[in-house]
Amino acid sequence: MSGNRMRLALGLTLVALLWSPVGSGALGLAVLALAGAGLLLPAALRHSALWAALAGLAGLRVALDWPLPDNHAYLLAYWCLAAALALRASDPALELAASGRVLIGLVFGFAFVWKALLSPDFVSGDFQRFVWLTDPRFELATMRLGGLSFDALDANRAFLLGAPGAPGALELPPAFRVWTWGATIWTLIAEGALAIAFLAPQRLTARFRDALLLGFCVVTYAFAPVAGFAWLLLSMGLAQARPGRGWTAAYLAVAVLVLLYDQMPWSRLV
Amino acid sequence: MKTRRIAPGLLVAVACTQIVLAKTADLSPWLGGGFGMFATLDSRGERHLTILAESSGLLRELAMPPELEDQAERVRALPSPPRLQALARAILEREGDRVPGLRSVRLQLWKTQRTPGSLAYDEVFLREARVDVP
Repeated sequence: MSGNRMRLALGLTLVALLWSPVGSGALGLAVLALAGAGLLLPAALRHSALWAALAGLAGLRVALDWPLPDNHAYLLAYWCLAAALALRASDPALELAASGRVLIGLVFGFAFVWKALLSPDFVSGDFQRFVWLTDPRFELATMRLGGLSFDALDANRAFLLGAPGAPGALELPPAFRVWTWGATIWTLIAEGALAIAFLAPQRLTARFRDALLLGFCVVTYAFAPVAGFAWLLLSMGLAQARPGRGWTAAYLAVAVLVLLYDQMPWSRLV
Repeated sequence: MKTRRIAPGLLVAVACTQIVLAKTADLSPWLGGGFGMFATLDSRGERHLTILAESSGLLRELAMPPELEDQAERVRALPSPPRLQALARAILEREGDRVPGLRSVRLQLWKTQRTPGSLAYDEVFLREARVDVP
């Protein structure tokens, strides 16, 4: 991996920190100041101390708010720590690529274990049905793709809340059932495949690893409202991507696409 | 140990701990660094705290004091008996002067449970902490 790609990957992480700040008060300000310094000063971006400080602040935020921080906060701390350690190594780009690859594999590995093995309500499809009906962020997509009218959505929500006068059962059109089953199966297959692709020996999976991660981000983050998490994954993905300008451009393009998803949810444009 | 293994090793240690806490201490699977988000209906928002104040033989439901909301959020995320007890004690300290004849505070944790398939709503009692006025 070239040093340029490593700098791009680290820069992408810092942009994500500026765009989607972490922590509050003095801690949040310190993270913003460090991220700004890293972007403005090329020497700071490549300095282990900057990433060690970011790792420390990210870890402190997790500790202070525990158990409330979401998984994004933990992953940020691990990634900053990996960068701090890599930048002290004789071949920082190689070290960062190795850490990024394994971190991505582990994230998807544990996500897959939770969904496939530890959560019966995910495998049964109940989770996706519930989320697409109740999460206001999915409302328009549920109506457009699932074929539910606003009144039908409202009645189903009343049932789920156990409200007086609610219908006796969910009334779901076939399109909605197909859509939510599709989301369940897609998530299981994609996350399982990503875990294998990033944790299996490189010689077996290097060919399709990047395409898988990029495809996952293009599809999943069109709906999942966690753009900051997506940018962290893309930063790690870029750090470990196969040689070639094409992959670098693809990672940057998908990062921009995720930003667009976040700022202009496509379901409002259709 | 190669330095490239340190961050992934930390991730594995935290995620395994999260799984253990989720399965043994009711930590919300969405939280705790185990990457269980978007995996289960058992989120913090599906857990509810009810405060019952006992005074002169009467039970009366109280609202969560705003200054204890943050602590209550943490209890909903990881409702271990000591955390529940500590929150109940904090409620008693704040409500002692406001509720005449207050004898005890009972803090109950309820969880929304969905019938598999139909997703029908039900409330299930998980646990309770009780603190008496000394």
